[in-house]
Amino acid sequence: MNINKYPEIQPGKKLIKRIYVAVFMWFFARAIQAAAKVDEEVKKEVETIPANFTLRLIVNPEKAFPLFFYAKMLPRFIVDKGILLYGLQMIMGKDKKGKFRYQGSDPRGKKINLSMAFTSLEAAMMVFTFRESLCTGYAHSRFVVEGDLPFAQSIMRIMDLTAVFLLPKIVAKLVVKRYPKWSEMSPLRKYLNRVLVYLRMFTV
Amino acid sequence: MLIPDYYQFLIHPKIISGKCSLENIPSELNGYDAQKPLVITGKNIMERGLVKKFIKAFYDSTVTLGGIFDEVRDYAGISLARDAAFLYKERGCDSIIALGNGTVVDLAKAVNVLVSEKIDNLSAYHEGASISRQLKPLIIVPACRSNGMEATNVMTIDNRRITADFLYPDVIVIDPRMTPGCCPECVAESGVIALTHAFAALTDEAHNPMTAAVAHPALSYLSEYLPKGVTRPKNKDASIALANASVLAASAYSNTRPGMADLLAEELSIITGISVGKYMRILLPSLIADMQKKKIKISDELFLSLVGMEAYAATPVQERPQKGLDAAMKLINSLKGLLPKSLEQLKIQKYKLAEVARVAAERSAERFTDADCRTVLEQAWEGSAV
Repeated sequence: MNINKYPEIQPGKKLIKRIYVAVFMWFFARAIQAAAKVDEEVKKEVETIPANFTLRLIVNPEKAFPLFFYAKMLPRFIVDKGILLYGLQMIMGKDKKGKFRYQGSDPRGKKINLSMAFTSLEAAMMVFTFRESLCTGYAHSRFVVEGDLPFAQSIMRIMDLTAVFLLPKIVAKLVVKRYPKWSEMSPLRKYLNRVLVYLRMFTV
Repeated sequence: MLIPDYYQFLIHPKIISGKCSLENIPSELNGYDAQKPLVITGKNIMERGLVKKFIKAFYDSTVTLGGIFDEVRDYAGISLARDAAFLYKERGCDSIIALGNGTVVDLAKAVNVLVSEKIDNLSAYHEGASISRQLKPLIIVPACRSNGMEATNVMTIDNRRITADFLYPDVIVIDPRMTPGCCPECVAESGVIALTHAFAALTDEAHNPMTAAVAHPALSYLSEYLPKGVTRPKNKDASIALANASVLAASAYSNTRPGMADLLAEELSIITGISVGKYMRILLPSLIADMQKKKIKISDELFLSLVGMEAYAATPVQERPQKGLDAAMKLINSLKGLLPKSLEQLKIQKYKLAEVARVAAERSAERFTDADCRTVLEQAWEGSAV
Protein backbone atom coordinates (compact mmCIF):
# COMPACT_ATOMS: atom_id res chain seq x y z
CA MET A 1 0.00 0.00 0.00
CA ASN A 2 1.31 3.43 -0.99
CA ILE A 3 0.74 5.69 2.00
CA ASN A 4 1.90 8.77 0.09
CA LYS A 5 -1.49 8.70 -1.58
CA TYR A 6 -2.95 9.90 1.71
CA PRO A 7 -0.78 12.86 2.75
CA GLU A 8 -0.63 14.28 6.24
CA ILE A 9 -2.58 17.52 6.49
CA GLN A 10 -1.48 20.46 8.56
CA PRO A 11 -4.53 22.74 8.77
CA GLY A 12 -3.97 26.40 7.97
CA LYS A 13 -4.90 29.65 9.64
CA LYS A 14 -7.82 32.04 9.31
CA LEU A 15 -5.86 35.28 9.36
CA ILE A 16 -8.73 37.75 8.87
CA LYS A 17 -10.79 36.17 11.62
CA ARG A 18 -7.78 36.24 13.94
CA ILE A 19 -7.27 39.94 13.31
CA TYR A 20 -10.99 40.67 13.79
CA VAL A 21 -11.10 38.86 17.15
CA ALA A 22 -7.87 40.50 18.32
CA VAL A 23 -9.14 43.98 17.40
CA PHE A 24 -12.55 43.32 18.97
CA MET A 25 -11.00 42.10 22.23
CA TRP A 26 -8.71 45.10 22.42
CA PHE A 27 -11.57 47.57 21.84
CA PHE A 28 -13.90 45.74 24.21
CA ALA A 29 -11.32 45.55 27.00
CA ARG A 30 -10.57 49.25 26.73
CA ALA A 31 -14.31 49.98 26.68
CA ILE A 32 -14.86 47.98 29.88
CA GLN A 33 -12.01 49.89 31.51
CA ALA A 34 -13.61 53.15 30.46
CA ALA A 35 -17.13 52.09 31.53
CA ALA A 36 -15.81 51.13 34.98
CA LYS A 37 -14.76 54.76 35.41
CA VAL A 38 -17.79 56.41 33.86
CA ASP A 39 -20.95 54.50 34.79
CA GLU A 40 -22.31 54.11 38.31
CA GLU A 41 -23.87 50.71 37.73
CA VAL A 42 -20.65 49.27 36.31
CA LYS A 43 -18.75 50.84 39.22
CA LYS A 44 -21.04 49.02 41.68
CA GLU A 45 -20.42 45.71 39.94
CA VAL A 46 -16.67 46.32 39.97
CA GLU A 47 -16.82 47.04 43.70
CA THR A 48 -18.11 43.49 44.34
CA ILE A 49 -14.94 42.09 42.74
CA PRO A 50 -12.05 41.65 45.23
CA ALA A 51 -8.69 43.39 44.88
CA ASN A 52 -5.95 41.62 42.90
CA PHE A 53 -8.61 39.80 40.90
CA THR A 54 -7.55 38.93 37.34
CA LEU A 55 -9.81 37.86 34.50
CA ARG A 56 -8.61 36.30 31.26
CA LEU A 57 -10.64 35.92 28.06
CA ILE A 58 -8.85 33.66 25.60
CA VAL A 59 -9.42 31.60 22.48
CA ASN A 60 -8.41 27.96 22.73
CA PRO A 61 -6.08 26.28 21.98
CA GLU A 62 -3.74 28.81 23.57
CA LYS A 63 -0.69 27.43 21.73
CA ALA A 64 -2.28 28.17 18.35
CA PHE A 65 -2.49 31.89 19.09
CA PRO A 66 0.86 33.19 20.32
CA LEU A 67 1.47 36.89 20.97
CA PHE A 68 2.11 38.98 17.85
CA PHE A 69 5.79 39.03 16.89
CA TYR A 70 6.38 42.71 17.77
CA ALA A 71 5.25 42.13 21.38
CA LYS A 72 8.63 40.52 22.05
CA MET A 73 10.52 43.58 20.80
CA LEU A 74 8.73 46.10 23.01
CA PRO A 75 9.45 46.84 26.68
CA ARG A 76 7.40 44.79 29.10
CA PHE A 77 5.49 47.71 30.63
CA ILE A 78 4.06 48.69 27.21
CA VAL A 79 2.79 45.15 26.66
CA ASP A 80 1.26 45.02 30.13
CA LYS A 81 -0.59 48.30 29.66
CA GLY A 82 -2.25 46.98 26.52
CA ILE A 83 -1.59 50.11 24.51
CA LEU A 84 -1.29 48.20 21.25
CA LEU A 85 -2.78 44.97 19.91
CA TYR A 86 -0.66 42.03 21.04
CA GLY A 87 -2.70 38.85 20.58
CA LEU A 88 -5.91 36.94 21.07
CA GLN A 89 -6.08 37.28 24.83
CA MET A 90 -7.73 39.87 26.99
CA ILE A 91 -6.49 40.17 30.54
CA MET A 92 -8.27 42.51 32.90
CA GLY A 93 -7.63 42.95 36.56
CA LYS A 94 -8.43 44.97 39.64
CA ASP A 95 -5.35 46.40 41.29
CA LYS A 96 -4.78 47.15 44.98
CA LYS A 97 -6.20 50.64 44.58
CA GLY A 98 -9.45 49.19 43.25
CA LYS A 99 -8.93 50.26 39.64
CA PHE A 100 -10.28 47.84 37.04
CA ARG A 101 -7.77 47.96 34.20
CA TYR A 102 -6.93 46.27 30.93
CA GLN A 103 -3.58 44.51 31.34
CA GLY A 104 -2.78 43.50 27.78
CA SER A 105 -2.53 40.08 26.23
CA ASP A 106 0.44 38.52 27.98
CA PRO A 107 -0.52 36.19 30.86
CA ARG A 108 3.06 35.63 32.04
CA GLY A 109 3.61 36.60 35.68
CA LYS A 110 -0.10 37.13 36.35
CA LYS A 111 -2.21 35.05 38.68
CA ILE A 112 -5.44 34.31 36.82
CA ASN A 113 -8.53 33.99 39.06
CA LEU A 114 -11.13 33.63 36.35
CA SER A 115 -10.54 32.27 32.88
CA MET A 116 -13.15 32.42 30.12
CA ALA A 117 -11.94 30.34 27.18
CA PHE A 118 -13.66 30.15 23.80
CA THR A 119 -13.46 26.57 22.53
CA SER A 120 -12.35 27.69 19.07
CA LEU A 121 -11.81 30.77 16.93
CA GLU A 122 -15.12 30.08 15.18
CA ALA A 123 -16.91 30.03 18.56
CA ALA A 124 -15.36 33.43 19.37
CA MET A 125 -16.47 34.71 15.97
CA MET A 126 -20.06 33.57 16.67
CA VAL A 127 -20.16 35.75 19.79
CA PHE A 128 -18.08 38.68 18.51
CA THR A 129 -20.03 39.00 15.27
CA PHE A 130 -23.23 39.16 17.37
CA ARG A 131 -24.74 35.99 15.92
CA GLU A 132 -25.05 34.70 19.48
CA SER A 133 -25.31 36.65 22.74
CA LEU A 134 -22.88 35.98 25.57
CA CYS A 135 -25.54 34.03 27.48
CA THR A 136 -26.56 31.95 24.47
CA GLY A 137 -22.90 31.35 23.71
CA TYR A 138 -22.36 30.04 27.22
CA ALA A 139 -25.47 27.84 26.93
CA HIS A 140 -24.14 26.48 23.62
CA SER A 141 -20.75 25.73 25.23
CA ARG A 142 -18.96 28.25 23.02
CA PHE A 143 -16.81 29.13 26.00
CA VAL A 144 -15.77 27.44 29.19
CA VAL A 145 -15.48 29.28 32.49
CA GLU A 146 -12.87 28.25 35.02
CA GLY A 147 -12.28 29.84 38.40
CA ASP A 148 -14.45 31.90 40.73
CA LEU A 149 -17.85 31.44 39.14
CA PRO A 150 -19.83 34.01 41.19
CA PHE A 151 -17.54 36.72 39.82
CA ALA A 152 -18.19 35.43 36.29
CA GLN A 153 -21.78 36.63 36.74
CA SER A 154 -20.55 40.12 37.67
CA ILE A 155 -18.21 40.12 34.66
CA MET A 156 -21.06 39.09 32.37
CA ARG A 157 -23.20 41.97 33.69
CA ILE A 158 -20.31 44.39 33.18
CA MET A 159 -19.85 43.12 29.62
CA ASP A 160 -23.57 43.47 28.90
CA LEU A 161 -23.64 47.05 30.17
CA THR A 162 -20.53 47.92 28.18
CA ALA A 163 -22.13 46.48 25.04
CA VAL A 164 -25.16 48.71 25.65
CA PHE A 165 -22.91 51.77 25.82
CA LEU A 166 -20.76 50.77 22.85
CA LEU A 167 -23.26 49.54 20.31
CA PRO A 168 -26.44 50.93 18.76
CA LYS A 169 -29.66 49.39 20.09
CA ILE A 170 -30.30 47.26 17.00
CA VAL A 171 -26.94 45.47 17.43
CA ALA A 172 -26.75 45.55 21.23
CA LYS A 173 -30.10 43.74 21.42
CA LEU A 174 -28.41 40.74 19.82
CA VAL A 175 -25.55 40.79 22.31
CA VAL A 176 -27.19 41.32 25.67
CA LYS A 177 -29.62 39.09 27.49
CA ARG A 178 -32.20 41.86 27.95
CA TYR A 179 -31.84 45.38 26.62
CA PRO A 180 -32.54 47.90 29.46
CA LYS A 181 -35.78 49.84 29.28
CA TRP A 182 -35.97 53.63 29.61
CA SER A 183 -37.03 53.22 33.24
CA GLU A 184 -33.88 51.21 33.93
CA MET A 185 -31.44 53.35 31.96
CA SER A 186 -32.41 56.85 30.91
CA PRO A 187 -31.47 57.91 27.37
CA LEU A 188 -29.49 60.81 28.82
CA ARG A 189 -27.31 58.45 30.86
CA LYS A 190 -26.93 56.07 27.94
CA TYR A 191 -25.89 58.65 25.34
CA LEU A 192 -23.73 60.67 27.71
CA ASN A 193 -21.91 57.56 28.89
CA ARG A 194 -21.56 56.38 25.31
CA VAL A 195 -19.69 59.55 24.41
CA LEU A 196 -17.53 59.34 27.55
CA VAL A 197 -16.72 55.66 27.02
CA TYR A 198 -15.65 56.28 23.42
CA LEU A 199 -13.55 59.29 24.47
CA ARG A 200 -11.83 57.38 27.29
CA MET A 201 -11.26 54.33 25.10
CA PHE A 202 -8.92 56.24 22.82
CA THR A 203 -7.48 58.80 25.17
CA VAL A 204 -6.77 57.07 28.50
CA MET B 1 -46.82 4.50 34.50
CA LEU B 2 -45.62 0.91 34.85
CA ILE B 3 -42.34 0.26 36.61
CA PRO B 4 -40.35 -2.43 34.77
CA ASP B 5 -39.25 -5.41 36.86
CA TYR B 6 -35.72 -5.16 35.53
CA TYR B 7 -33.88 -3.23 32.86
CA GLN B 8 -30.43 -2.18 31.68
CA PHE B 9 -29.60 0.91 29.68
CA LEU B 10 -26.33 2.27 28.32
CA ILE B 11 -25.91 5.27 26.06
CA HIS B 12 -22.31 6.20 25.48
CA PRO B 13 -21.60 8.73 22.75
CA LYS B 14 -21.49 12.39 23.57
CA ILE B 15 -23.65 14.13 20.98
CA ILE B 16 -22.69 17.60 19.74
CA SER B 17 -25.26 19.00 17.36
CA GLY B 18 -25.75 22.42 15.79
CA LYS B 19 -23.92 25.29 14.12
CA CYS B 20 -20.12 25.19 14.22
CA SER B 21 -20.08 21.76 15.86
CA LEU B 22 -17.18 20.61 13.71
CA GLU B 23 -14.96 23.24 15.30
CA ASN B 24 -15.44 21.44 18.64
CA ILE B 25 -13.59 18.35 17.41
CA PRO B 26 -10.08 19.64 18.26
CA SER B 27 -11.14 20.44 21.84
CA GLU B 28 -12.87 17.05 22.15
CA LEU B 29 -9.72 15.32 20.90
CA ASN B 30 -7.72 17.35 23.36
CA GLY B 31 -9.93 15.95 26.13
CA TYR B 32 -8.81 12.46 25.10
CA ASP B 33 -5.18 13.62 24.91
CA ALA B 34 -5.18 13.03 21.14
CA GLN B 35 -3.57 15.33 18.58
CA LYS B 36 -3.35 13.33 15.37
CA PRO B 37 -6.50 11.64 14.10
CA LEU B 38 -6.82 9.46 11.02
CA VAL B 39 -9.84 10.47 8.96
CA ILE B 40 -11.77 7.65 7.29
CA THR B 41 -14.28 8.64 4.66
CA GLY B 42 -15.97 7.49 1.48
CA LYS B 43 -15.45 8.29 -2.18
CA ASN B 44 -18.89 9.88 -2.46
CA ILE B 45 -18.16 12.25 0.46
CA MET B 46 -14.90 13.28 -1.23
CA GLU B 47 -16.70 13.87 -4.54
CA ARG B 48 -19.34 16.05 -2.87
CA GLY B 49 -16.62 18.36 -1.51
CA LEU B 50 -17.49 17.78 2.14
CA VAL B 51 -13.90 16.87 3.01
CA LYS B 52 -12.68 20.39 2.17
CA LYS B 53 -15.26 21.91 4.53
CA PHE B 54 -14.26 19.35 7.15
CA ILE B 55 -10.55 20.26 6.93
CA LYS B 56 -11.39 23.97 7.30
CA ALA B 57 -12.90 23.19 10.70
CA PHE B 58 -9.41 22.25 11.92
CA TYR B 59 -7.86 25.61 10.98
CA ASP B 60 -6.34 27.46 13.91
CA SER B 61 -6.06 24.33 16.00
CA THR B 62 -3.06 22.30 17.11
CA VAL B 63 -4.46 19.11 15.54
CA THR B 64 -2.71 17.54 12.54
CA LEU B 65 -4.72 15.19 10.34
CA GLY B 66 -2.69 11.99 9.97
CA GLY B 67 -4.24 11.28 6.59
CA ILE B 68 -7.59 11.08 4.82
CA PHE B 69 -8.33 7.48 3.89
CA ASP B 70 -11.09 7.83 1.28
CA GLU B 71 -11.28 4.33 -0.18
CA VAL B 72 -14.57 3.25 1.41
CA ARG B 73 -17.45 2.41 -0.92
CA ASP B 74 -20.54 0.27 -0.28
CA TYR B 75 -18.75 -2.62 1.37
CA ALA B 76 -16.59 -2.73 4.52
CA GLY B 77 -14.10 -5.58 4.42
CA ILE B 78 -11.15 -6.65 6.51
CA SER B 79 -8.56 -6.01 3.78
CA LEU B 80 -9.57 -2.36 3.56
CA ALA B 81 -9.51 -2.15 7.36
CA ARG B 82 -5.97 -3.55 7.36
CA ASP B 83 -4.85 -0.89 4.85
CA ALA B 84 -6.31 1.88 6.99
CA ALA B 85 -4.75 0.37 10.14
CA PHE B 86 -1.37 0.31 8.37
CA LEU B 87 -1.73 3.99 7.48
CA TYR B 88 -2.73 4.72 11.10
CA LYS B 89 0.42 3.05 12.46
CA GLU B 90 2.80 4.52 9.86
CA ARG B 91 1.60 8.05 10.57
CA GLY B 92 1.63 7.63 14.34
CA CYS B 93 -2.02 8.57 14.74
CA ASP B 94 -3.75 8.44 18.11
CA SER B 95 -7.47 8.64 17.27
CA ILE B 96 -9.95 8.03 14.46
CA ILE B 97 -12.58 10.24 12.86
CA ALA B 98 -15.23 8.65 10.65
CA LEU B 99 -16.66 11.17 8.20
CA GLY B 100 -19.75 9.54 6.72
CA ASN B 101 -22.20 6.86 7.59
CA GLY B 102 -22.82 3.14 7.28
CA THR B 103 -19.81 1.34 5.87
CA VAL B 104 -17.46 4.23 6.73
CA VAL B 105 -18.34 3.91 10.41
CA ASP B 106 -18.15 0.12 10.31
CA LEU B 107 -14.68 0.34 8.79
CA ALA B 108 -13.59 2.95 11.35
CA LYS B 109 -14.73 0.67 14.19
CA ALA B 110 -12.85 -2.26 12.65
CA VAL B 111 -9.68 -0.17 12.27
CA ASN B 112 -10.06 0.94 15.87
CA VAL B 113 -10.19 -2.68 17.05
CA LEU B 114 -7.18 -3.63 14.90
CA VAL B 115 -4.99 -0.77 16.13
CA SER B 116 -6.11 -0.84 19.77
CA GLU B 117 -5.82 -4.62 20.19
CA LYS B 118 -2.68 -4.75 17.98
CA ILE B 119 -3.99 -7.60 15.80
CA ASP B 120 -4.35 -7.99 12.04
CA ASN B 121 -7.65 -9.84 11.71
CA LEU B 122 -10.99 -10.06 13.48
CA SER B 123 -11.50 -13.83 13.29
CA ALA B 124 -11.25 -14.25 17.08
CA TYR B 125 -14.17 -11.84 17.56
CA HIS B 126 -16.22 -13.59 14.89
CA GLU B 127 -15.74 -16.78 16.88
CA GLY B 128 -17.08 -15.23 20.06
CA ALA B 129 -14.14 -13.57 21.82
CA SER B 130 -15.04 -10.25 23.42
CA ILE B 131 -13.38 -6.88 23.12
CA SER B 132 -12.21 -6.34 26.65
CA ARG B 133 -10.35 -3.03 26.66
CA GLN B 134 -10.99 0.61 25.97
CA LEU B 135 -10.35 1.40 22.31
CA LYS B 136 -8.80 4.56 20.82
CA PRO B 137 -11.03 7.66 20.70
CA LEU B 138 -13.52 7.43 17.84
CA ILE B 139 -15.42 10.47 16.60
CA ILE B 140 -18.23 10.14 14.08
CA VAL B 141 -19.40 12.93 11.80
CA PRO B 142 -22.60 11.72 10.09
CA ALA B 143 -22.97 12.68 6.45
CA CYS B 144 -25.37 11.42 3.83
CA ARG B 145 -26.93 7.92 3.87
CA SER B 146 -27.21 6.24 7.28
CA ASN B 147 -27.52 2.53 8.02
CA GLY B 148 -28.79 3.23 11.52
CA MET B 149 -25.93 1.44 13.25
CA GLU B 150 -23.48 4.32 13.65
CA ALA B 151 -24.33 5.17 17.24
CA THR B 152 -24.69 1.55 18.33
CA ASN B 153 -22.29 -1.00 19.78
CA VAL B 154 -22.36 -3.06 16.58
CA MET B 155 -20.01 -3.23 13.60
CA THR B 156 -20.54 -5.21 10.43
CA ILE B 157 -17.40 -6.35 8.67
CA ASP B 158 -17.54 -8.75 5.73
CA ASN B 159 -21.28 -9.10 6.41
CA ARG B 160 -20.60 -10.47 9.90
CA ARG B 161 -21.61 -8.61 13.00
CA ILE B 162 -19.56 -8.02 16.13
CA THR B 163 -21.19 -6.54 19.21
CA ALA B 164 -19.32 -5.08 22.18
CA ASP B 165 -19.90 -2.12 24.46
CA PHE B 166 -16.43 -0.77 23.64
CA LEU B 167 -17.58 -0.30 20.04
CA TYR B 168 -19.74 2.68 20.95
CA PRO B 169 -18.27 5.84 19.41
CA ASP B 170 -16.99 8.41 21.87
CA VAL B 171 -18.38 11.54 20.22
CA ILE B 172 -20.94 12.12 17.48
CA VAL B 173 -20.75 15.52 15.82
CA ILE B 174 -23.82 16.58 13.84
CA ASP B 175 -23.08 19.69 11.82
CA PRO B 176 -25.43 21.34 9.28
CA ARG B 177 -22.55 21.63 6.79
CA MET B 178 -22.22 17.85 6.64
CA THR B 179 -25.77 16.51 7.05
CA PRO B 180 -27.70 17.66 3.93
CA GLY B 181 -28.67 14.60 1.90
CA CYS B 182 -27.45 13.99 -1.62
CA CYS B 183 -30.85 12.79 -2.98
CA PRO B 184 -34.44 12.18 -1.77
CA GLU B 185 -33.93 8.38 -1.88
CA CYS B 186 -30.96 8.62 0.46
CA VAL B 187 -32.94 10.76 2.94
CA ALA B 188 -35.93 8.41 2.70
CA GLU B 189 -33.79 5.35 3.36
CA SER B 190 -32.06 6.87 6.39
CA GLY B 191 -35.43 8.05 7.73
CA VAL B 192 -37.06 4.65 7.30
CA ILE B 193 -34.22 2.91 9.12
CA ALA B 194 -34.48 5.36 12.03
CA LEU B 195 -38.27 4.91 12.06
CA THR B 196 -37.97 1.12 12.13
CA HIS B 197 -35.45 1.22 14.97
CA ALA B 198 -37.49 3.65 17.06
CA PHE B 199 -40.65 1.66 16.30
CA ALA B 200 -38.93 -1.55 17.50
CA ALA B 201 -37.78 0.21 20.67
CA LEU B 202 -41.30 1.45 21.53
CA THR B 203 -43.33 -1.60 20.52
CA ASP B 204 -41.09 -4.17 22.22
CA GLU B 205 -42.87 -5.69 25.22
CA ALA B 206 -39.73 -5.29 27.32
CA HIS B 207 -39.12 -1.63 26.53
CA ASN B 208 -38.14 0.50 29.49
CA PRO B 209 -38.58 4.19 30.39
CA MET B 210 -35.10 5.05 29.16
CA THR B 211 -35.47 3.55 25.68
CA ALA B 212 -38.87 5.22 25.44
CA ALA B 213 -37.35 8.55 26.46
CA VAL B 214 -34.76 8.29 23.69
CA ALA B 215 -37.06 6.86 21.01
CA HIS B 216 -39.75 9.48 21.67
CA PRO B 217 -37.84 12.53 20.30
CA ALA B 218 -36.55 10.40 17.43
CA LEU B 219 -40.11 9.63 16.32
CA SER B 220 -41.24 13.22 16.87
CA TYR B 221 -38.40 14.50 14.65
CA LEU B 222 -39.22 11.92 12.00
CA SER B 223 -42.91 12.68 12.02
CA GLU B 224 -42.26 16.40 11.56
CA TYR B 225 -39.21 16.43 9.29
CA LEU B 226 -39.17 13.24 7.23
CA PRO B 227 -41.75 14.43 4.64
CA LYS B 228 -39.98 17.82 4.48
CA GLY B 229 -36.52 16.23 4.19
CA VAL B 230 -37.63 13.96 1.39
CA THR B 231 -39.01 16.83 -0.69
CA ARG B 232 -36.03 19.09 0.09
CA PRO B 233 -32.95 16.96 0.86
CA LYS B 234 -30.65 20.00 1.15
CA ASN B 235 -32.80 21.69 3.80
CA LYS B 236 -30.52 22.22 6.80
CA ASP B 237 -33.19 22.12 9.53
CA ALA B 238 -34.67 18.90 8.20
CA SER B 239 -31.29 17.26 7.71
CA ILE B 240 -30.14 18.16 11.24
CA ALA B 241 -33.41 16.84 12.69
CA LEU B 242 -33.18 13.60 10.72
CA ALA B 243 -29.52 13.07 11.65
CA ASN B 244 -30.47 13.56 15.31
CA ALA B 245 -33.41 11.18 14.91
CA SER B 246 -31.10 8.59 13.39
CA VAL B 247 -28.61 8.83 16.28
CA LEU B 248 -31.34 8.76 18.94
CA ALA B 249 -33.15 5.84 17.33
CA ALA B 250 -29.87 3.93 17.11
CA SER B 251 -29.16 4.61 20.79
CA ALA B 252 -32.60 3.30 21.75
CA TYR B 253 -32.24 0.36 19.41
CA SER B 254 -28.91 -0.74 20.87
CA ASN B 255 -30.63 -1.04 24.26
CA THR B 256 -33.57 -3.06 23.04
CA ARG B 257 -34.21 -6.36 21.29
CA PRO B 258 -34.36 -6.12 17.47
CA GLY B 259 -37.87 -6.06 16.02
CA MET B 260 -39.18 -8.41 13.36
CA ALA B 261 -38.77 -5.88 10.54
CA ASP B 262 -35.13 -5.28 11.55
CA LEU B 263 -34.27 -8.98 11.65
CA LEU B 264 -35.95 -9.79 8.35
CA ALA B 265 -34.43 -6.76 6.60
CA GLU B 266 -30.94 -7.63 7.83
CA GLU B 267 -31.24 -11.23 6.65
CA LEU B 268 -32.55 -10.17 3.25
CA SER B 269 -29.78 -7.58 2.95
CA ILE B 270 -27.08 -10.16 3.70
CA ILE B 271 -28.49 -12.54 1.06
CA THR B 272 -29.01 -9.98 -1.70
CA GLY B 273 -26.60 -7.14 -0.91
CA ILE B 274 -29.38 -4.55 -1.28
CA SER B 275 -29.44 -1.88 1.45
CA VAL B 276 -31.42 -2.51 4.64
CA GLY B 277 -33.43 0.70 4.22
CA LYS B 278 -35.18 -0.51 1.07
CA TYR B 279 -36.30 -3.69 2.82
CA MET B 280 -37.43 -1.85 5.91
CA ARG B 281 -39.64 0.42 3.81
CA ILE B 282 -41.37 -2.71 2.45
CA LEU B 283 -41.45 -4.76 5.65
CA LEU B 284 -42.55 -2.14 8.18
CA PRO B 285 -46.01 -1.53 6.62
CA SER B 286 -46.54 -5.31 6.39
CA LEU B 287 -45.55 -5.71 10.03
CA ILE B 288 -47.86 -2.85 11.09
CA ALA B 289 -50.75 -4.36 9.10
CA ASP B 290 -50.10 -7.72 10.76
CA MET B 291 -50.05 -6.09 14.22
CA GLN B 292 -53.31 -4.27 13.47
CA LYS B 293 -54.91 -7.50 12.33
CA LYS B 294 -53.79 -9.41 15.41
CA LYS B 295 -54.63 -6.45 17.67
CA ILE B 296 -51.31 -6.72 19.45
CA LYS B 297 -51.14 -4.58 22.58
CA ILE B 298 -48.53 -1.87 22.30
CA SER B 299 -47.56 1.19 24.28
CA ASP B 300 -49.55 4.36 23.57
CA GLU B 301 -46.27 6.32 23.58
CA LEU B 302 -45.95 5.54 19.89
CA PHE B 303 -49.08 7.59 19.23
CA LEU B 304 -47.95 10.42 21.52
CA SER B 305 -44.54 10.72 19.87
CA LEU B 306 -45.91 10.66 16.33
CA VAL B 307 -48.88 13.03 16.62
CA GLY B 308 -48.10 15.26 19.60
CA MET B 309 -49.85 16.08 22.83
CA GLU B 310 -53.02 17.71 21.47
CA ALA B 311 -54.14 14.82 19.26
CA TYR B 312 -53.07 12.36 21.95
CA ALA B 313 -55.21 14.07 24.59
CA ALA B 314 -58.19 14.23 22.23
CA THR B 315 -58.14 10.46 21.60
CA PRO B 316 -59.80 7.94 23.96
CA VAL B 317 -57.30 5.81 25.89
CA GLN B 318 -58.32 2.48 24.36
CA GLU B 319 -57.92 3.78 20.79
CA ARG B 320 -54.42 5.20 21.22
CA PRO B 321 -52.34 2.07 20.47
CA GLN B 322 -54.22 1.39 17.23
CA LYS B 323 -54.10 5.03 16.21
CA GLY B 324 -50.35 4.95 16.88
CA LEU B 325 -49.98 2.17 14.35
CA ASP B 326 -52.13 4.14 11.88
CA ALA B 327 -49.91 7.20 12.34
CA ALA B 328 -46.76 5.13 11.75
CA MET B 329 -48.31 3.65 8.60
CA LYS B 330 -49.28 7.15 7.39
CA LEU B 331 -45.74 8.43 7.98
CA ILE B 332 -44.11 5.60 6.08
CA ASN B 333 -46.59 5.93 3.23
CA SER B 334 -45.75 9.64 2.93
CA LEU B 335 -42.57 8.53 1.16
CA LYS B 336 -44.72 7.77 -1.90
CA GLY B 337 -42.79 6.28 -4.79
CA LEU B 338 -39.25 6.96 -3.59
CA LEU B 339 -38.44 3.40 -2.53
CA PRO B 340 -39.69 0.04 -3.86
CA LYS B 341 -43.05 -1.07 -2.49
CA SER B 342 -42.77 -4.85 -2.64
CA LEU B 343 -40.15 -7.57 -2.53
CA GLU B 344 -41.37 -8.62 -5.95
CA GLN B 345 -40.23 -5.25 -7.33
CA LEU B 346 -36.77 -5.99 -5.96
CA LYS B 347 -36.84 -9.31 -7.83
CA ILE B 348 -36.54 -11.47 -4.72
CA GLN B 349 -37.41 -15.08 -5.49
CA LYS B 350 -40.29 -16.29 -3.36
CA TYR B 351 -38.60 -19.57 -2.40
CA LYS B 352 -35.88 -17.63 -0.52
CA LEU B 353 -38.43 -16.21 1.92
CA ALA B 354 -38.82 -19.45 3.86
CA GLU B 355 -35.11 -19.57 4.66
CA VAL B 356 -35.06 -15.89 5.63
CA ALA B 357 -38.07 -16.42 7.93
CA ARG B 358 -36.39 -19.42 9.55
CA VAL B 359 -33.11 -17.59 10.27
CA ALA B 360 -34.90 -14.48 11.56
CA ALA B 361 -37.11 -16.58 13.87
CA GLU B 362 -33.99 -18.32 15.21
CA ARG B 363 -32.26 -14.99 15.85
CA SER B 364 -35.30 -13.60 17.65
CA ALA B 365 -34.82 -15.97 20.61
CA GLU B 366 -38.34 -17.40 20.26
CA ARG B 367 -40.09 -14.05 20.32
CA PHE B 368 -41.39 -14.57 16.79
CA THR B 369 -42.29 -17.87 15.20
CA ASP B 370 -41.32 -19.00 11.74
CA ALA B 371 -44.97 -18.68 10.68
CA ASP B 372 -45.20 -15.06 11.95
CA CYS B 373 -42.15 -14.08 9.94
CA ARG B 374 -43.39 -15.87 6.83
CA THR B 375 -46.79 -14.12 7.00
CA VAL B 376 -45.10 -10.72 7.10
CA LEU B 377 -42.68 -11.65 4.33
CA GLU B 378 -45.42 -12.91 2.04
CA GLN B 379 -47.44 -9.77 2.56
CA ALA B 380 -44.29 -7.74 1.83
CA TRP B 381 -43.62 -9.76 -1.32
CA GLU B 382 -46.99 -8.72 -2.69
CA GLY B 383 -46.74 -5.23 -1.22
CA SER B 384 -50.42 -5.36 -0.26
CA ALA B 385 -49.99 -3.34 2.96
CA VAL B 386 -48.28 -0.39 1.26
